[in-house]
Amino acid sequence: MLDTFFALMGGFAVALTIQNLGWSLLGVTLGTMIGVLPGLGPAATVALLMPLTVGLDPISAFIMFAGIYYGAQYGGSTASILLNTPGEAGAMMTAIEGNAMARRGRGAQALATAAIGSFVAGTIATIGLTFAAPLLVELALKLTAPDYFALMILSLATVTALLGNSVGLGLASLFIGLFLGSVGLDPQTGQSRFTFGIIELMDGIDTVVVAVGLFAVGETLYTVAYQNGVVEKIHQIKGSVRLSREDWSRSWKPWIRGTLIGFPIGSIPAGGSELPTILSYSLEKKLSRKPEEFGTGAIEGVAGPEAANNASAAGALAPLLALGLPTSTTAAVLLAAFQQYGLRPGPMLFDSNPALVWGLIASLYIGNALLLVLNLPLVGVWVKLLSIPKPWLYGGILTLAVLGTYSLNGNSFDVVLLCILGILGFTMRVFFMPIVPCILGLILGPMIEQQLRRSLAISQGDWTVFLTHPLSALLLALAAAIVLLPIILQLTRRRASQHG
Amino acid sequence: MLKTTLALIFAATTAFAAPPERLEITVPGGPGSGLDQAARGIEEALRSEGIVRNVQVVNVPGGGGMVALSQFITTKDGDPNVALVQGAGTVFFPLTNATPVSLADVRPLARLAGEYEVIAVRADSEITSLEDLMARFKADPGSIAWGGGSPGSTENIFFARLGKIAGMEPRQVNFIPHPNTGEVVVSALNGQVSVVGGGMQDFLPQVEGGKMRILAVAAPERLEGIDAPTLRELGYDIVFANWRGISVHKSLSDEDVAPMREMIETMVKSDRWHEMLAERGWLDFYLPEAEYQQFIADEESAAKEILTELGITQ
Repeated sequence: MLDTFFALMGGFAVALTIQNLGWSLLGVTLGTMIGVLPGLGPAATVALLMPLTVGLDPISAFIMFAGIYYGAQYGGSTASILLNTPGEAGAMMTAIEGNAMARRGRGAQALATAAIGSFVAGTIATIGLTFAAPLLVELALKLTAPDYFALMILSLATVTALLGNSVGLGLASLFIGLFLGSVGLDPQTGQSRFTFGIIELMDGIDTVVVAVGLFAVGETLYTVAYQNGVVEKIHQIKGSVRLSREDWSRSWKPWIRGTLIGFPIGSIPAGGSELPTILSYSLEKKLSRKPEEFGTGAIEGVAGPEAANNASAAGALAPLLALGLPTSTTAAVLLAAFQQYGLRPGPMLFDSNPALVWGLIASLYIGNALLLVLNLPLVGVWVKLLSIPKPWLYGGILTLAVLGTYSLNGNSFDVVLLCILGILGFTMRVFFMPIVPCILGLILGPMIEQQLRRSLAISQGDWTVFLTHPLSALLLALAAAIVLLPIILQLTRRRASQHG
Repeated sequence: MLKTTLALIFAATTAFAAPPERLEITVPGGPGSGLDQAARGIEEALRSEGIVRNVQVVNVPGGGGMVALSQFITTKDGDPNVALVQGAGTVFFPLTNATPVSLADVRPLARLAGEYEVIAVRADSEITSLEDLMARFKADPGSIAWGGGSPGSTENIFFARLGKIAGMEPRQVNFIPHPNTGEVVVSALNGQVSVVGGGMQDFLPQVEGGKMRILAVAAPERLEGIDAPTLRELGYDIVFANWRGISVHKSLSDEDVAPMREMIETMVKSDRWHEMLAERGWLDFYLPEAEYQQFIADEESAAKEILTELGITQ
């Protein structure tokens, strides 16, 4: 522990030179910018910059890359809140309440709770990364396919509350999502499903295209079609741009809970950022004293998922630093960057190149602090976007959505897909169908399928694996309890009242 | 006489063609993917050796690389400054999925680098050697879970061929696909699969860290610095590699291709290229045009046979 602390201090000594602070600042600024544009993510940016950094000291290059990585998370939330265009999967949940807040004139508070929450989560998670990465990775490695399957089922059980007011419409939306998620190659046999001979569909439909299509394009079309005549003042900022005492007291617990969910799930190899943000959102909805505000701009619904997203981004670096395992796209690019410098990340990297590793970790703390300093004063500037006349604003949103989607793969097919999904999003709104279940189906469906089929392939078709693996059995029992307990309670209460 | 003169002039022009002024490399995969690393390696060698200063890498992910291929074919007609990188997966994917395009629609120019496939287990696995693995596999085929990349990938074909040589049905190989190399390593480390396959570089950090062991390598000779026998030594006649090569548009004439050919020939002889191969653990797999095209044809027919037996061709 003390050794780690001294090593970290050594890292700060490396990262805190004027030069490296400059690279960090450049990285976080670039990262924020690309985060705002949906599509071009941190992975692509780092890949683009790699040839330009050849002559650079590796430590400086990695400090800049780390800044880009963290900065993109901040930028992603800004775009989600103000424009409803989640640029990456982890920002989708932020868009739901964040954009609703913005439309109620509380955009500044949404941005502030996102920025401070990201800082809190990023810092706590980086501390976790500093002191617990090897231990955490060792635990995460123990998870096998049945455990993942059970974890997904538990997630599904906890998010049923997100189905919306009408169970029928919620389920319909969920099934649309499941269908969209099943487009592409069958994970076990590699054969194409629902691709209609279109090669662009073979890798499945990108979550970002679905999210931007359903959220930004669908919402824009709906607003234009149904609220055009209404003079709307909702985008105007009401009162102060600062967080009120109530905002603070409603934010800090979600930040902590989001971090506690995001960091461990982010660090498991197939964890990602979607699952923790979904879980955090549904948890905050359950725990909120004002659950009725969810859907119309509850601050907890921004604070929690935003913290979970940033914590999972830090967690995703744990397998890379501790074992040299690239478990996310950004990690894969960073791994390639390590190789460009002739470095081999892995169990030996901490011993063979301590200055680099600890410099990189120290730069994560620094980048996080820089991002807070950069973003909080910018909140006032960003919200001015919302006072742009509505036709221009929505025109801008559509342009950004199309540009971002195109930059995702540089393929115009994705833009066609975006239009189709936008019309789907519009239609769903017309029929009062909630959008969130569709996103859940899209994300959880393929994960559940893959882990279920992998479990059964390894066990040669023996379904009892889900019960013989202790963790899997425990998680499934929890899931069953979450679904069944309320029903049982209701039944016994009814019986009691009948007897009484 | 005229004929020989013309031939001489032609030979002279091709021999002295300068490398192109600029080069655009299309990558059928996202940033960080294997083909992306190959393209960026080529970029780095060409730039630092001053062979081509203006190099641009364009990532076109999707459809198992086929989106890139189809874009390349339709939009780069007659453009002598554009190349496409490809690998074993680019040959195999059209076999498992009836795709409208394949490598037959481009002009493969040179094979450049690659890595032999290896079979690995976690350090404390019960499986002691390749012979032990094969004995267990023959006794109870389903009990051995073979981990590798996507269905129809290099590892899938490699394991199926190994099973076939062992006298079993390729279908009896219980192949467990994974979306990326990181997850393959994780599955090996936590023991949910019995063995894994992949390139040496995928496992080297773990092997050095004492967390994994290599059972055998599918190379013609033992690999330097790795204490593992070749499959040939053990009586399984397989040499299997994951390779990377480069192609140009099919519409180009021999004359159009001359600068690009010159560029490749200069690059594969350059110091920086060899330095980089060593840094990244890639082997020099250079094959010029004719041999490369023959190699692709051989790879394709061998893969087709085994994929048909696996029942995943279309």
